[in-house]
Amino acid sequence: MNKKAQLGHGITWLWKFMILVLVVGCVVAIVASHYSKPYDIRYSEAETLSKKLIECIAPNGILTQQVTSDMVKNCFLINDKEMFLNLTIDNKQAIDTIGLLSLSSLCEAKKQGTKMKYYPACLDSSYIVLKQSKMEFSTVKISIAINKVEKNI
Amino acid sequence: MIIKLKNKKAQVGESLSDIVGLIAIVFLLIIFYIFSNAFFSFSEKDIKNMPEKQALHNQEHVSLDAFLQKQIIITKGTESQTITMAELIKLSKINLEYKTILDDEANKAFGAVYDFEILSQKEAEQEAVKMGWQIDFTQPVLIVTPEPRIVNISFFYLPSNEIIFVKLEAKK
Repeated sequence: MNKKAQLGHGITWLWKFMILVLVVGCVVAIVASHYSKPYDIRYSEAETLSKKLIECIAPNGILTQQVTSDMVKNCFLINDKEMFLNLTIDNKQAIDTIGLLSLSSLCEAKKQGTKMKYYPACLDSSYIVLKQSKMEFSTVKISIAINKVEKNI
Repeated sequence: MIIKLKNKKAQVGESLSDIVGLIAIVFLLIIFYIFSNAFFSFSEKDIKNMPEKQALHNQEHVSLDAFLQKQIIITKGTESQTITMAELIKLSKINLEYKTILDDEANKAFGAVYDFEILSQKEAEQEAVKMGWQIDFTQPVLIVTPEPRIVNISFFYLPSNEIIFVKLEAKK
C-alpha cells in the first residue's frame, strides 16, 4: 500500500470512529439527562404517612379512645426538621402540632397561589371514622407537609 | 490490503455522503431528544398527580368501611334492635322504609363530601367485568380498584341473598 492510500485509510477510519463516538455520546447524554432527574416522591410519602396514621389511630375505621402525641409519634418515624403534622378530630386540635410550623405557612401560601421555587409537598386528608361506641362518626383531618427539598427538587 | 486510489471527484462524493449521513444522524438525535423530553415530562406529571388521587381513594375506603360498621337502633312498634349499616343496606333492598332511614344516614355522614350509591346487581356486574375484579363472595370485602388514578371510586361488596355493591365517590 502506498503512503497516500494509508493516510486516506487512516482518515476514513478516524472519521467513522468520530461518528460512532458522537452517536454513542448523544445516546448516553440523553439517557443520563433523563435518569438523573430527581423524582419528587414527597407527595407519595405524605400519602403513605397519612394512610399509616389513620390506620394507627383508627384501626378498622374505629377511633382509638385517647389519641395522644406519643401515640402518633409511635405510629411512624417522624423527622421533626423536615416535616409538619397536624391532626384534628371533629375540628378540635387532637394533639400539639408536630414538626416545623413554618411549613404549614408555606402550604397556606401555596394554596393561595403564591409561586415558590422551593416549596413543601402538602397533603390534607379527611377521614370519616367511627367513635368507640360505633353509634357516631368523627371526622379526622390530617395535614402533612414534607420539606426535603434538596432530595426531591 | 490494497486500496485503489479513486479520482478526486469520487472522493468528494464519498465525503459529501458521509457529511450528509452525519447531519441526518444529528438531526435524528435532536428529534429523539425532543420527543423523549415530551414523553418523560408527561409521565413525571402523572407521577406527581398519582398520590393525590390515591390519597382520595384511601379516604373513601376508610370512610366507607366505617360507615358500613356504624350501628343504628331501629324501632318497629315496641321492639327496637341495634343493627349495622351493612345490615340496613340489605334490609333496604326488601323494605322501602329502611331505604329512607339509610338515605338519611348516608346524607348525614357523606352529604357534602361524597356521593353514596347502592348499585343494582346489573350495574355491579358491569363494573366487575369492566374492572376485572376477582371477588370472594363469602365475606364483606373492600374492593380495591387496580387503577385508582383512573377510576377514583370505592366499592364495597356485602354478602347477602343477592349481590350488593356500595359505591362511594368524592363529589366533583
